[in-house]
Formats: sequence, structure tokens, C-alpha cells
Amino acid sequence: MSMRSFALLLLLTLTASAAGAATRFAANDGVDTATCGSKAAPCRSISRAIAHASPGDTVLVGPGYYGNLDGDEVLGEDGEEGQVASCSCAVHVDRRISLLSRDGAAATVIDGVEASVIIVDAPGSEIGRRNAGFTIRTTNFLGVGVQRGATGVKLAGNLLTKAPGAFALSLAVVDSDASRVADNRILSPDGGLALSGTASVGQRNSVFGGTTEINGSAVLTNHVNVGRGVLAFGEASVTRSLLAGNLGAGILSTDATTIRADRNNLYGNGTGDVIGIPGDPGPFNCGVRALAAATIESTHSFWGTFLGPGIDPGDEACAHDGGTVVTDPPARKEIRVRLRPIR
Amino acid sequence: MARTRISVGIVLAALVWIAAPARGDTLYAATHGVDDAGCGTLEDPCRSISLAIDHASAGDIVEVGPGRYGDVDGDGLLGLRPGEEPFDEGCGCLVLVEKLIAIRSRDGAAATFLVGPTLPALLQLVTLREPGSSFGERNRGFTILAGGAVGVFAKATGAAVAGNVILYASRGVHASGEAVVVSDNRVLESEVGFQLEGPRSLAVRNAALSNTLQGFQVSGADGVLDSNAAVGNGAGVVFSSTGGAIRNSTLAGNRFFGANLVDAATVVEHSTFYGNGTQFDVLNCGLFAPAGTVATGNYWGSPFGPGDDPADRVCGEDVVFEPFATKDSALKLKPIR
Repeated sequence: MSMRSFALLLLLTLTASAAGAATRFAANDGVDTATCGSKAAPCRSISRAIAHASPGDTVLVGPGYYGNLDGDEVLGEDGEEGQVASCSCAVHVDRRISLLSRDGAAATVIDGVEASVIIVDAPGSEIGRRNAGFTIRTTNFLGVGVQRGATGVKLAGNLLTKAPGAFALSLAVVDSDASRVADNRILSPDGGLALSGTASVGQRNSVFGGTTEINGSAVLTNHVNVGRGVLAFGEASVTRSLLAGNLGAGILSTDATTIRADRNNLYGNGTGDVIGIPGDPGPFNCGVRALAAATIESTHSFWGTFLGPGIDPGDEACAHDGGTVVTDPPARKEIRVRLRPIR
Repeated sequence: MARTRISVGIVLAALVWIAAPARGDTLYAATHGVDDAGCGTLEDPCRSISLAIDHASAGDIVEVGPGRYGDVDGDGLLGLRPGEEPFDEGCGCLVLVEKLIAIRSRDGAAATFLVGPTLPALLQLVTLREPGSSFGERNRGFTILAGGAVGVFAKATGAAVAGNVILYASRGVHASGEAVVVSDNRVLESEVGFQLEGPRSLAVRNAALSNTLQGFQVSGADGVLDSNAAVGNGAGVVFSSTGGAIRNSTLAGNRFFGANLVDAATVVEHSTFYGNGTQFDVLNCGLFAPAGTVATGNYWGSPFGPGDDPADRVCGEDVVFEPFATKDSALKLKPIR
């Protein structure tokens, strides 16, 4: 087949694919009906627009508020999310769709109240995009949960928060292979991000308040964690990231594996009043902390001074209870972490 | 003669150079800095923003590196760990600005966090008292966790607050100075998003999301809201002052109403109202306004203008709402880092 024929075939394939995909609409001026979802007659709830979508479709959500419309803390009433009781969530992504907002996270709020906000079961789905994401608000549950079998999911451009005084372990849990988490902001005094699976990637996310937990062979790059630090397990890696001002160690590993953690900024960590086991020195001033048989390779990292790891204002490389940390050579100056602006 | 002209030109140029404001220095604060008497250079940054401000002069910039400031060790108190911002009892705040300086972060709100303690005496995290001073810029702002206090209190004429993300505040931004400019901020999970109390203040491209009371509260004369979003608040906008305007904004999904005005001279134009009044379905009010208010060019959730669901109603006699827009337009918020 000639290059020209191949290009023509590719174009035809793409055209056919695009023609097959439709866009369903949800909007604050929509009404949930048996046929809603067109641009002229959008659904009021995202859930209803998803119910009317087919695999491959885009569900485009207008600005405004979705979820607990009447403020009674109960979902599932007219126009509200939570119409799929089986998932105990506000929005259930049970088919391969792209769920996007028209005007971005700063104008589009999904409120899960006393339920997880978005649960994703369908492989290949997409929740938000940079400048086309959502503000995802929860009270005591998950912001977004991507289930184990939902491979290849993309989660991008979202702002995840929780209500004041509520408790949330993690606001985003992505437990699937080959998924991509990018350009999200996770803000909560406790909840953070958990990313696991094979070949899943986190890029340019920011976590404040809680932890980022990485497992499997997940890879974090250009990541910011200012909260309780990064917990790294399995064959995960974290590079070119900023781990600063965490109450615990910037990076902590306890697994009998080697964590790749090169080219990071590690400073101002281990500040919290963490009560350790008697005899355990704790995470005080630890940029990284390897426990038991864990090895953390944190070469080319900046430790707060050009001299490498050390006491304040530098961070230390803490190898406790048989752990190993490799630091040479250190970086003499800060590594610039690149986050992208989001709407 | 030619020589005289050249001399005059040189003298004039010298006078212009002398008269121009001094170019400011940049002072630095960083999470790996140390608070000492000489801190503030790029090589020797301060740990606290407050000390970098102390070492700055009028016209300077204070640039803050990524990381955590304020309650550094998360114990809800201040002062137990070196480098925490000192609590200023005079203003009830952590960061007090009493000189003409610009405070900005190096890497933006997504990487730079100012955390309030849980002190009952804490009234504000940041106070701008000097006319023309500023806190944050677009892409160079801060995330502020306000712990129930005011996030940024701008009480000086011409102060500017920009590019910040503020949570858990009594008021995200409280602007009581005259002609304060508040731009490209986000306030979430607070009581009131933005309070414009001073006259002729401007709020542009901000978003107030999921605040329990008002998204925007304008109590200063001739305040202007342009290209803002108020979504999921108790009320979108409350104008309790005279004059001013709401323009190019989206007020959607607020529980009680989109906007409430008391003065018919307040102009409402080219904005979007829908999904409001959800807690009181009977009312379904996008706008409460007195007789004679001009609210033209707005989209009310239907191509046929204001009305019952799914549109929003205009609540008030003799409000001029025609011509209205037959479709909504995309909000013009700028992305922030």
C-alpha cells in the first residue's frame, strides 16, 4: 500500500469514527426527559445525559451546579445526580465517554454530598480535560474513583475539594492500568491522590493537605505535594517533582523494592509533630525516608541547599531501620517544576 | 546653538531619569530559607513572607517560592517552629503589608500555600494597608486556607488582589479600600466569596464556588462585577449599594437567587442567569431588582427570555429585561496556575 493510499484510508477511518460519535449536553437550563441531551434540549443532570450517550460519545456540561440542587443533602430527586443507586455515587460513568465541561472547573461544580462524586467503570473514559474540567466537591467520600478494570482512563483539568470539616481519605483514587491523571488540583486538609496500576501516569498535578500514594508501576512527574508527602510502593517512581513543606517526609517508602525518585525538589519537609514508634527517629526534616528494606534512588535532587542533603534549611536523606537512600550526585540548584494553568 | 540644544536635551533626560520612580528590588522568601537579619536575597531567602516584607522597601517585589507558609508544622498554632509567620495582634493577621510593595509567588497558587492557624483572634491572613500594594498576580498567586478568617483584606485605596485560590474563609477577599481591583481569583467552600465594600471597586474574572452565603457581596458604591462566575453559592450576587454593574458574568445554580439589587441604577447586562433559586422552586428567581432596573442583553435560560423552569424568572415589577439574549455565551475566565 502506498503512503498516499494509507493516508487516505486513515483519513476515512478517522472520519467514519468521528461521524459515529455524538455529543450529548447537560446544562443548568436543561430538563431531564426521556429524550434530552441535544444542544437544543439539554438534560439537567449529567447522569441523564450519560444514560442517553453511547460508547465513544462526548457529554458536554454547561456551567453551573450539579448534584444536590435543593440543598436537602439527598441526591436522586428531579434534575439531581445520583440516579444510579447501584454505585452509591452522584455520577456513574459506566460507558466509554468523554465527560467535559464547556467553561472549565471554575464555572462547573459537581457536588456529591454524602456520596462519592464520580465513579468510573468504563475503560477508555475521560473525565475533564485541561480547561474543560470540573470542580468536584465531596463531603466524606471519594471525589473520583476509577475502578480496577477501567483501564486507559484520563482524568484531567479538575479541581477536587471537600466541604469544610468533612473527612476524606483520598479525593481521587485511580486504581487502573494505563491511566493518565494530569493537570488536576486536589485541595483538602487530609484527602489526596492514590494512583496505582501498571503504566499509569500522573503529570502536573498538585496535591495540598494530604498524601499522594503511588503503587504498582505508576509514574509521577512534574508533581507538587505540599501536605503529608508521597508514599511510594512497588515499582513506582516520582521524578522532576516538588515535595516541599510536607508534615511527613517528602517521599516515604517501606517496600522491599527500589523507588526511582531522581531530579526532585525536597525541602521544608518533616515539619509535623508526628508521633513515631519508640526508638523510631520519625520523619523529622526528612526529604526522603526509606524504611525496612526499601531503597530510594534520589540522585540529582535539590535538597534545599547547594551542598546536598543536610540539616535545616536543607532536608536530610533518612535511611532508617535498614532502608537505603542514594543521593549522589545532588543538584546544586532547584529543578523547575512545570504546572500548567487551568480554567 | 546646536550645542545648546544637545545640552538642554541631556539635562531634560537627566531630570526625567531622576523623577522616575526608583526601580524596585526583589526580595525572596522560600521554604528552604532561614529568617535572619540579612535574609531576602535569592541566595539567602527568608523562611517567612513577613520577614521578607520587613526587609523590603517601597517599590520592591516580594517573591515567594513554592511550599507551605503560615502554620508550617500543622499544629494549629504559630511561633513554635522557626519560620512560621508571626501573628500580628494589631491587625489580627499573619501577613501585614504597610508599604508599597507587590507580593507574588514564583510558581503560582498550585504550588504556594499559606495556611492559617486555628487561633480565635485570627481575623485575616493577609492585610493590605498601603495604597497601591498588591497580593498575587495571575499565575503568581497563592492558595490560602483561611481557617475561618478572611483570606485577603484589602483596605487600602487602589490595592490589587489577583491569582489566588482561597478556601475555608469567612470572606475570601474583603475589599474595603477605594477602587480595589480583584482579578482572576477563586474562592470556594467559604461563607462569602468576595465582599466589595469600598467604593468603585472592580472584580473581574473571579469565580465564587460553593460558598454558603453570597458568592459576591457588593456594599460599596459603584462596584463593578465583570466576567465573573458565581456557581453553587447560597446566593450568587447581592448588591446592597448604589450604582455599579454586573456584566458578562455567569450566575448559575445558586440556591436562593442569582442576584439581588436594591438600587435601580445598578446595571445588569450581557450575563447568564439559570438554574438559580433551586432551594425555593416557587420563586425560581434569577434576579430580584427594584422597579426601573435595566437588565438587558442577558440570557435567562431560554431563548424566550425569563420565565418558569428551566429558565430563571425576573422577580420585581417593571424591570426592563428586553431585549434579552437568546443564547448564552462562554464565560471568559482566564486559566490560572
